[in-house]
Amino acid sequence: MSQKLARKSLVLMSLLMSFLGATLSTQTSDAEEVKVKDGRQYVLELSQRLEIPQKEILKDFQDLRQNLPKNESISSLVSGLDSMAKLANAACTYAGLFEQDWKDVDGLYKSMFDRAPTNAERESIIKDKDGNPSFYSNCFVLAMSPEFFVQK
Amino acid sequence: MTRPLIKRLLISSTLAFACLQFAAVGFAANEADVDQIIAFDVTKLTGLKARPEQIKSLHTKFVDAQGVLDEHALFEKILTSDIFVDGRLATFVSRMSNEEQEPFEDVDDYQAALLLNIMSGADMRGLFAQYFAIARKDEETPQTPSLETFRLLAGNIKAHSDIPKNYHLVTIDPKAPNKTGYYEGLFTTEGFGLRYIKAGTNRRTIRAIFDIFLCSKIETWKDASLDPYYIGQDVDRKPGGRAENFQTNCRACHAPMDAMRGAFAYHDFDPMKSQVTKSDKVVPKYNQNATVFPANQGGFETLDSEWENLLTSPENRARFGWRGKTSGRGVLQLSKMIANSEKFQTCMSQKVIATFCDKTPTEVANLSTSPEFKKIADDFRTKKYQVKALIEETVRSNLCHKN
Repeated sequence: MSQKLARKSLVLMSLLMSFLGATLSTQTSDAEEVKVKDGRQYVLELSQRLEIPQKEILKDFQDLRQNLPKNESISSLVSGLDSMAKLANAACTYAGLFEQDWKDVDGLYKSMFDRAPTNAERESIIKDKDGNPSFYSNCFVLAMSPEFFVQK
Repeated sequence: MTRPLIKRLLISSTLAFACLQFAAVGFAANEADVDQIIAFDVTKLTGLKARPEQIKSLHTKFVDAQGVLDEHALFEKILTSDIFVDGRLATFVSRMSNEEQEPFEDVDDYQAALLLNIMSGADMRGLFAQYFAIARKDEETPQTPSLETFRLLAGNIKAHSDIPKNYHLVTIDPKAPNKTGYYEGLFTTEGFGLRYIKAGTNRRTIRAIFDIFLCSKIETWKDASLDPYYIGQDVDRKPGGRAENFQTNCRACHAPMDAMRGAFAYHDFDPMKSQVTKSDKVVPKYNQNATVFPANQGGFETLDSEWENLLTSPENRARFGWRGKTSGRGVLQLSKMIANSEKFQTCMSQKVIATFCDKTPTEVANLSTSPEFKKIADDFRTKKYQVKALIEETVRSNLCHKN
């Protein structure tokens, strides 16, 4: 992983923790609850969205399952983020191995979220040393974003 | 995600459900509504947000020219999809395998039996009241002992969805002379044996069965007023030199547990073979440490597999809803009593809501007091205990959208 990506990942993690903190702090005053995908839902949706054969990614799930979120509680993310990141890494690496039509950034957003990136998101797209969007890096960031791991 | 967005999602789900109800009574929905209905159904069933092209594909297959959705056909289609079996169903059978409701346990013969029963649409009580085997689909009669068959399978299992593709359940008449290779119900599978029969004194079997299939932790049914007659010889009647400790604490759990553990008196778990074994006499663990409180002082000596359910006070009858005999002999008669109880119906319905509607224990408890829940639990019985039908009715009910 490049230093640039590592920095981005750190920023992402910080944002995630802020998101968790903000959500948890409001839980006590509001009965409405944010639910996250459990580890199995997370991995299956990665497989579905990135068009990875289900059984390929279930092998990684078997190895990591003990540390993945086991219920929908948002607090389960605290101990599960590391393993989710490993799964996101495996899934994005696998998806990156095969050239597919949707693998530009617009296609990636459409595949993951059924929408195009916003202007702000376009500006923060991660690029490689040649200035081209990095599929792996952007895929990883999207897979680790609340928009992906919160239950719809 | 912002709270307004979540609210919008909830509202759209509710609206989609309302559309679903209209479709159910024959109203033709417009195309946009139908997309929403299918998206909602698929999401609720699989726990995954369907992609637009998948929705379009389902739309083509399950909505007729008048725009009416064939909900049952859609459900059947999703039920057999790998994504559903490896997702929701895998979680469901895993949670049903242990007291902690762990969702990602290793797949074993216990989980396989549950999964095959659910997918076949058979009466769930068959797993509790019949001898059955896990056989390859190409053989009607198991050619090898069931556990061995399962082990052959286990080497090839990459996901839960491999199980129904290759195996099915086969039952045998309990009076058949040779039942080699058949499980004596779900509680003699390797999975259950490894967790609850291995070592110990077989008391854990009763605690686990009540917890998993009657949704009743032992703390809620222990009762120090019950007759201590069946309490084993290995239980100290004066722990720490104080008889009141036994009378107020130990007795409360041991009286009901020890009275029922006799059902497993001939069963043990062989860790070398990794399987539940059945002996023709009471296994040693039942009468071990007999000098602690020997039979001549009143400690109970297990002589056979007779058992008695002491939880039959009016309060307990109202709570568990026992139907039929509350005493008997052997594992199958005990598990039959469990599966015939009213509490079994409600417990299974609660577990389905928890897994397939993503509800927390508190939410499930709140929903369980509603008339809709009662209807679903009653229908589970009238529809011959088909878990498949229970899941379908639940995910199509209002309960999935309430907190």
